[in-house]
Parts: sequence; structure tokens; C-alpha cells
Amino acid sequence: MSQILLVDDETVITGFLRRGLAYKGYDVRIAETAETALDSARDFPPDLVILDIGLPDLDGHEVCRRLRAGGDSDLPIIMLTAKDSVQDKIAGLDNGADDYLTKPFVFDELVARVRAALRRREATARPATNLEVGNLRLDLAARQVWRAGQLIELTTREYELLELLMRHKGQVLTKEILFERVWGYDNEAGFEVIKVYINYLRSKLKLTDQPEIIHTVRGVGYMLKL
Amino acid sequence: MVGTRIRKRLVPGMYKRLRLNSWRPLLAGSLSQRLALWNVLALLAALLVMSGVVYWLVTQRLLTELHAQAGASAAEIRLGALVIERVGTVLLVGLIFGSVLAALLAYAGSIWLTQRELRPLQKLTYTMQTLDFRPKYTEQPRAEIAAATEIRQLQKSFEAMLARLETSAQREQAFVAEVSHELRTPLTTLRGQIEVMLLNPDLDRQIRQDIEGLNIELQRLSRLVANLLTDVRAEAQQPNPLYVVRQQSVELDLLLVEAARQAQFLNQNVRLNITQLEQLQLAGDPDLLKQLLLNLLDNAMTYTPTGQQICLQLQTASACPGWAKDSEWAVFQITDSGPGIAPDDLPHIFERHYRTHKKCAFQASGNGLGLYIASLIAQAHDGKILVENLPTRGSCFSIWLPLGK
Repeated sequence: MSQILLVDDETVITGFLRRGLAYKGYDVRIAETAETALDSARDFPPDLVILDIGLPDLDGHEVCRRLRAGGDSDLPIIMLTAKDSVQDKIAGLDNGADDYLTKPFVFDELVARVRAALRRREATARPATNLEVGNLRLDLAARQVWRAGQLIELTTREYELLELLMRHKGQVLTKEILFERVWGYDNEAGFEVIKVYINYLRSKLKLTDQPEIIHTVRGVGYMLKL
Repeated sequence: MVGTRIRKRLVPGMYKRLRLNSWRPLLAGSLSQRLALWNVLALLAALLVMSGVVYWLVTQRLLTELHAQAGASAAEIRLGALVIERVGTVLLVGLIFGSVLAALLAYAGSIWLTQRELRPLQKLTYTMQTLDFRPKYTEQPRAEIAAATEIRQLQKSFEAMLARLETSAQREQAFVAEVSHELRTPLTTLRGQIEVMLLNPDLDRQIRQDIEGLNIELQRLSRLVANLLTDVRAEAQQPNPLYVVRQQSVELDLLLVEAARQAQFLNQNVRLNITQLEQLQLAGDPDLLKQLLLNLLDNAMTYTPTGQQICLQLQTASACPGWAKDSEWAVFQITDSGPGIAPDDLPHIFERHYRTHKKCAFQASGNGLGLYIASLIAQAHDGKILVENLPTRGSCFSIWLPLGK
């Protein structure tokens, strides 16, 4: 279970965020001041921090800087702000925030961002190995894909889609699952997109004479197998 | 000297705009024409009276002298009287002609002089006609005008009035900005609490439906507040509406997916279908770009009948129609299956507070800000929005944003 540190002094907001994130399966700890936030960052320790800019004792930017300076430079930090002035956004990103959300935000969007940030962290923390299916090889450390000894250039989303299919080789993955895992949302608007991306992948993986490796399971989804 | 200084500050096209050059019936003409006419008529009358008096005095004097000549015969005196009478007639005609000529010259000179005198007034009128508070008129440097006292007083009063108007306009803007801003925190809380409530699996079905209804209205309210805030921000930054710092890289495909998700939530009756989704990035403001997409999606969904679908695409293009700059573009296309846009409305739909006049079969929502804000945001990213009616049915909005180097 991923641990999230939520730093905000507005109890109404922390109240619903804690409950909502708990529904989504996260372990949440709340800090209402910058001081408790920095303490919790040491002994909780969080996998991700959601940080409000307006805190009673210290500026959110300053907390962000100290969290970064305090060791874990990969710790994902998502800033929350009621101000949408350009300067604030720049300051937030300059001080090491990975992402920011402007109030009023949609809860689902926050969850999607949290999920994406954790996935990125997981990807960098994971021991580097290769995934292999036949002559298709995916280098997790370098994020490179090789087929029959030839390097294939993929975009981020294409890579993520292929990685997902390769991790579940021989299993049928539904469009819902693919879209949710790669784009972060469960939305049927994107089902056509999956088809488009599968086609991109197929044409890139085909090279000149390689056999089809991604198979359509009519009415269900897609499967990667030899 | 004075005249040239004023003329330099005149605005090109001003005369045409004020229609000062058109010839009108004299009595309905410009102030300078009318003033000159009255002056000249008075002058002409005076000159004519003077001519009569001169004629009378000269002939009488000569006749008196003629009769006083001793030793002149009756025939000589008759001849003398005849000569005096002829000379008098020529004199009178000459005087009358001279008066008319003088009057004409005076008319022309008077028009020229009064026009010069009244030029500051024309400039003032032009300012009043074209005034739109931006850039702030009272903050612009202005030279002291060389003009008559009355005109200077008028100018001063106008400026004082303008200052009061500007202050109240600024106060109104600040008020809207502050209120919209203050609304954000309670909106965040409300929306968050409601969304989290809906996550509860044990919720009663009826209650869930009611809460979903509340949630939809709340999202509409947040959309409205966001548009108001952007509008205020754009108004405050005239004439360079929205300034965007290109620091953050925005993933356009994720942005479209998120916008589609939020828009779909507000209206379940119309299906949003993403058919093309290239993976594109550009430097810009993600919040503003999402607002742009949401505004256009709202618009498309408003005009699409229940059960129909809206097609969304994101792809690259190399040449933007009507744009000289040759670069790569990201193009969002939103194709609805509504009734299309009336040709009369087409040139105006991106104007502030513009709403179509024609009563639509589907409810028209919004306050005329949505498309205006969308076009501002596109401009702020050096892009633009093109609209066309499809030959079959519906309309297509394409948002062109340059991808940069």
C-alpha cells in the first residue's frame, strides 16, 4: 500500500482527501503545519507528498525545497494551490514540485496524477531487468525495445502499452484495463485510441518481415503472444 | 506653430470618422462654417451700409462743390452733374463688389481660423467615440493643449469624468476577481466532498443519483468561475490579453483525455469518441489549455442532440491555412453532429458576450464567455481556432497550436 503525506491546514479539504484516497487504497497521513510535515517525511516515510502552498508556519515552496534537500530527491511532490498566477506555478516547479493542481480541482484528476507519479517512481526504483518474448526484447532500465536485434523507436505511451502487454503475455487485456493503466483514466471515450495505438505498435514491431505478435481478441481486447 | 503641434497629435482617419469633410447645407454644417457664415453676413451688411454712405457722401459733396462754382453755365453744370452721377454709380458698384469679395475672403479665412481653433474639440470628440478604457486613457501622457479657455475647461471636465469612470470599472473588475477567487476554496471542498461521497460503495441508489445531480451543477459552477476569472485576467492585461509563460511542457494527449472525461461526466446523453490521439507535447499553461478544450466541448455538447456523438481528434499538421509561418502544428478537432452554425453568427461566435440570436431547438447555456475565452487562450499560445460547418450536418472546431521547434 503506497503511503501518501498530505500537507494542508484546511481540515475540510484534508478530511475528504484522506477519505477519498483511502477509498482508492492509499495509506494517508495528514500534516497541518510545515514542521509536522518535515517530521512525518522522516518517520512516516511517504511514497508521495501532496503539498498545499498556503501553510500557517512556512511557505509551501520552502517545504518543497527542504523535502528535496532532505535526501529523497526522487520523492514525487504534487503541489496544490488556490492561486493560478503564472509566478506561483513557476515558483512551484522551480522548487522541485513534479506537478501542481489548481483549486478547484477534480478529485479523480488528483488520483490520476498520484497514480502517474507513483508509477514513474516505481519504474525508476524497479530493479532493471529485461522482458523477453521471442525475439522481442524490452530493456526496462534503458526503456528501449529491440526486435530481431534491431532497435525500435517508441513514444512514451507506445512503450507503456507494450510493456503492459509484455508483462501479461499470453493473457487477454481488455481495452478498459489498457486505457486505465496507460492513460490513467477509466473512460470509454478512449477505446478507439487503443485501436490506433495498437496499430502504431503493430506496424513498428513488424519491421520488414517479422510475424504478428499482438493479437486482437474480438469483443474483448488484445493479447501478446508468439 | 500651435496648429501644427495639434495636427501632429490628430489621429489618422479621424476626419472621415467625424464626417467633417462632407459638404452639408450651410446652416447644418460644422460649427466653423456656421460661425464664419454669421460673421460674414454681419460683415457684408456693414460693408454694404458703408458703401451706401460713402456713395451718398461723395456724390453730395461733389454736387455741392459743382453748384458752388461761379461763372459756370447751365450746360456745364448739367454736364458736371452727369459726370458726377456716372462716377458715383461706378464707385457704388465698385464698393459693392469690393464688399462681397472682402466678405468671401473673410469667410474663407474665418473658416480656416475657427477650424484651427476647434481642432482640440474634434480630437476630444474622437477620444470620446473611440474610448474603451484600454490602454488606460488617464494614464497616457498628454501634452497641454493650446486652445481656447472653454475648450480647455471641457477637456479638463472630460478627463475628470473619465478618471471616475475608470476607477469604477477597475473596482468592478477587482470585485469580480476577488469574488471568483474566494469562491474557489469552498468549490474545491464541496466538489471534493461530493466526489468522495460517491466513492462510498454502500450509498443508497436514490441518494447516489441526487448527489450526482449536485455534482454536475457544481462542476458547471466551477467552469463558470474559471471563465470569469480568465475574463477578468484578460481584461486587466489589455491590450495583450493573456500572457502565458512557456515553462511547462504539456502533454496534449493526456489533456484531451482528461477534458473529455470531465465533459462526459457533465453530459451523459452525448457520446464523446476519441478517434485520433497522437502523443504531442508543447510548452504552455495546462490549466488554460484544459479550460479551452472544456469550453469547446461544452459548446459542442450543448448543440448535439441526445444520442448523437462528438468526434475528438488530436494530430499534427504541417501547414495551417491562412498562416504564413511554416512550422509544425498540433491540431485538436472537435466535430459535433448538431445543427451547425448560422452563417450570420459565424463571424461573431468568438466575440465577448456574443450569443446566437436564433432560438435553438436545444437549450443554449452559458453566458457568451466560453468561446471568447477559448479564442483568447488559443491566441495566448500563438494559435487559433477555425470553425466550419460540415456539408452534411454539424460543425467542426479545429484548434491550431504551434508546437515550436
